[in-house]
Amino acid sequence: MSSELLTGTTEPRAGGGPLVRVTDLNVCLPTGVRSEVEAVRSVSLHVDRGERVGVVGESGSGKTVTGRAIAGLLPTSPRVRVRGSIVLEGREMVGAPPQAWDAVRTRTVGMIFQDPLTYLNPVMTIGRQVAEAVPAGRDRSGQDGDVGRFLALAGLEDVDEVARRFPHELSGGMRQRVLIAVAIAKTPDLLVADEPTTALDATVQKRVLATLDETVRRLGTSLVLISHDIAVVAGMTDRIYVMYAGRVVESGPTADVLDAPRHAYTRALLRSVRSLTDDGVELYSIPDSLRASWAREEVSGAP
Amino acid sequence: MTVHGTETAPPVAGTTGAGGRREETPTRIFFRKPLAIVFLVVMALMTLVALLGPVFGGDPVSTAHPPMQPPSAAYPLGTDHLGRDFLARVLHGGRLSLFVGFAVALLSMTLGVLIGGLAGYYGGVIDVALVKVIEFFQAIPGLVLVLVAAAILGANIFIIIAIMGLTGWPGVARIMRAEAARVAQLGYVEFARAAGFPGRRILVSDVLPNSMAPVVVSTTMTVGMAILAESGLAFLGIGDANRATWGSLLNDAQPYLNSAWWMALFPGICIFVVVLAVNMIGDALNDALNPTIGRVK
Amino acid sequence: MKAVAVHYARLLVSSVVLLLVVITILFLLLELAPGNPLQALLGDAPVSPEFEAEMAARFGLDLPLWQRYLIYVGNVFTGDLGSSAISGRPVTELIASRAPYTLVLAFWAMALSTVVCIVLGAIAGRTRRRWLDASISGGSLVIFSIPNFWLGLMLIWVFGVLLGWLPTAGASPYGESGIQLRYMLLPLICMAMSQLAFKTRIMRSSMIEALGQDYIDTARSKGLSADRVLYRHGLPNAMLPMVTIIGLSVGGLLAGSTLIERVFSWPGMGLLMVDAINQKDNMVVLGVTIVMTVMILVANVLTDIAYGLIDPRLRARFTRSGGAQS
Repeated sequence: MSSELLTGTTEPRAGGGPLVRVTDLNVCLPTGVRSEVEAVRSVSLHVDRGERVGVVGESGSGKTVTGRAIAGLLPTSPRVRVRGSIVLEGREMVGAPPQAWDAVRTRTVGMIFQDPLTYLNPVMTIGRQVAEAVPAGRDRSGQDGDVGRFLALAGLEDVDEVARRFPHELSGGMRQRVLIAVAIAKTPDLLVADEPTTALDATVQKRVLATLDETVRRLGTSLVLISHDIAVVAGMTDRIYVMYAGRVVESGPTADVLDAPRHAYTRALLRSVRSLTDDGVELYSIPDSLRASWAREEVSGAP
Repeated sequence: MTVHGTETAPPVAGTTGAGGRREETPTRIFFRKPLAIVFLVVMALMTLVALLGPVFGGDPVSTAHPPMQPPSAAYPLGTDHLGRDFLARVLHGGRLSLFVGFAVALLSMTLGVLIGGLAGYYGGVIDVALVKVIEFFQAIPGLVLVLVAAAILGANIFIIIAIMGLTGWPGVARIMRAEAARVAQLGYVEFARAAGFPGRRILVSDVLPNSMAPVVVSTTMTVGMAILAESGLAFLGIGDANRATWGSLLNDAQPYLNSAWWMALFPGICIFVVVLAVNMIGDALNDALNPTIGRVK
Repeated sequence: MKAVAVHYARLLVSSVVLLLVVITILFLLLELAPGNPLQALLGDAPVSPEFEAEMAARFGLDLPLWQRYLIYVGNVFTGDLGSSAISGRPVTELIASRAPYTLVLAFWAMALSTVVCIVLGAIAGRTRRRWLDASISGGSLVIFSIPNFWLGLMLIWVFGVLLGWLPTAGASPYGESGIQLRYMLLPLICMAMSQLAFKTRIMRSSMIEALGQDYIDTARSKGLSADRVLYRHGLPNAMLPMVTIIGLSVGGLLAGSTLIERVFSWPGMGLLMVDAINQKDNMVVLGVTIVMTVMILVANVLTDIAYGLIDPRLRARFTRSGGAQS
């Protein structure tokens, strides 16, 4: 990869505070004509420059909604209610005008989605879809320009050919790499990756994760890695947030949390992973009685 | 490191209904729409008028009145070119249109449910064969054939109903097939099958009730289509020459557009209002039976 | 390339089979028709049995049913649709002189309604203003419920009788042939209206569905403006199903042409058919039906080809055999 691509992004930018600071965030989403769900409840978290943060929890824990809130990709319906604070590069984004979010999405935050097929426009070539993500003023042309470079950076080979293809003509792993290319094409300060490998089979999953890891390192981008799979997050993050039922129930340095989990839910989550990986025999499922008690309990890492 | 959550314990997680906590039944959603109720009333009134028209509507064939009278106190809708009371003719004219509408819809629904249900529930060879039949009936120019058949076989009202019913069922059949195929996969139907209940009984007692919602919506819309088609045929002069229907009244009216506007206006309004009422009811039913979250993005 | 050939061969075969079935239905209808065709030929005048037999032989009426069926099918497929019992002219000639009028009207009605439906449907599908969506979708349901021949009568009454702005019958002034725009305006509006109504509803739901897809999120994540997300990602995907809808609407257009041409005395195939029905000129009725069926089938094939060219997921049929899975 060319080095001039990377200049300016590895240097920390001005301002001492964290890149993102989320304070007491609440998000309500509509679920029916009149019903809604409190998907995120008073969540606070922060991501420093160059830091890699994991968010783990089962489906419905609010981790995806939190990630989308940071990337400005919550549904635009007026029935989506957001309270609390999201400060991005020193700017308060809750209640900010849409243009402010446009700027953030153009330059600051990139998002990698879960399902590589449905998240690509079926009637547009890969090349054009990546080109759209390249900020204005840069070379958007195919092979020698940014499109080719970012496709290559995302681990794709034969990039000219790939750029001419449509999503349905690529394999799942290739599509996921295209999504990565789209997300990094703006050389963002922060990448939010929501279950980036869940839809892929195990071997492809490993390779795509390795690419993501390498890309983030090269670009010096901060990463929020969202996953239900604690094993995925373990190897790639510095700090970790464990979410359950819309709340952060535990947080701290990844190693500390994994070695000495303090919240019962984290312990259960870890146990279910180990029971699967160690001998593959015992399947631990979480009893409902435990779930009720976790929801009331919060643990935070001691300084 | 950070410290989270200084507040008190929250309630147990889950979906919290904000706003209406009452369960949203289709009936409730339907009756929440003022337009739906209005058109339900309109439809009921029109049906009543069509049924009772011949009783209190006066004599539609007597030519004892002065011809070509514009609407007045004596003749609220005027008289036609032969001196017949137009109100009486309009009141009588609805009966046949509504009858054809409902009969065709009923026939289409029965055929569609039967054929679609069999195809979807049994699958396999039966499905393949029946789908071919459905595709064929969808591809043939149904309306044109109805016109030709009615023209050649003569304009007997039952022939018209039969032909329209025969060409109108594929839409319902497609819906029914998809629904039956889906329901047949559900656990309890498989269980019933495994438990040895005969297929036909499962089809009637389990698949049918579960598939009814979209079928009802489609059938409602068919009523409107059939009324429009019948009026069209009557307008072209294909129909029972001795019986006035709204369509045939319009056929009478065209030569007198210059002088007797009322003859063209009122029957058309009647067709329009009935079809609109049926379609609005169908639309509201659709919203009530298939509630969606609406637009989230 | 092979897959493409197989696909179109299948489509062609099924179209021909369909045409054959329609012809068979028509033939049987004619057999079932009340009245003796020989009687119709001879009229009421008394004739000798020899002359009757001669006429029967001349028109093939003495042959068994299956032979007459095969002859009829053979004639149709060789382009012989018989001749009119009224004017004696070949049916193909009659249709050829009328078809352009119908096709011009139907084409412009289709074009007009398609363009407007895409605009209205897209607006209704994307807007957050409840009243706007409600008035577009409610309005199209209202228009959809208007009998289009009655709409035609009302247009004539208002613009022809009351206002006297536009001519209300024919395609050009009496004695002239060809089509004049002033004459086409009312029938065109009338025909386009009912098309517009149902197409708008479909476009609206198609738009809502497209805007709810995941790739819209990806487009937003790139920081594209709302308009760009709409025009580059939402609209193209929403318009895909419209190709099929336009193809399917040909049947309705042609069937509707009988009513509208009758209302406006528009000298097309529809009016030819209506007049033939009234005069019991069965060969013309059948001929028009067969030609309309062929037109519908051709439209189906064209739709299939167009869809294959427009949707890249199907375009693969033309270039490579399926997507490369690597």
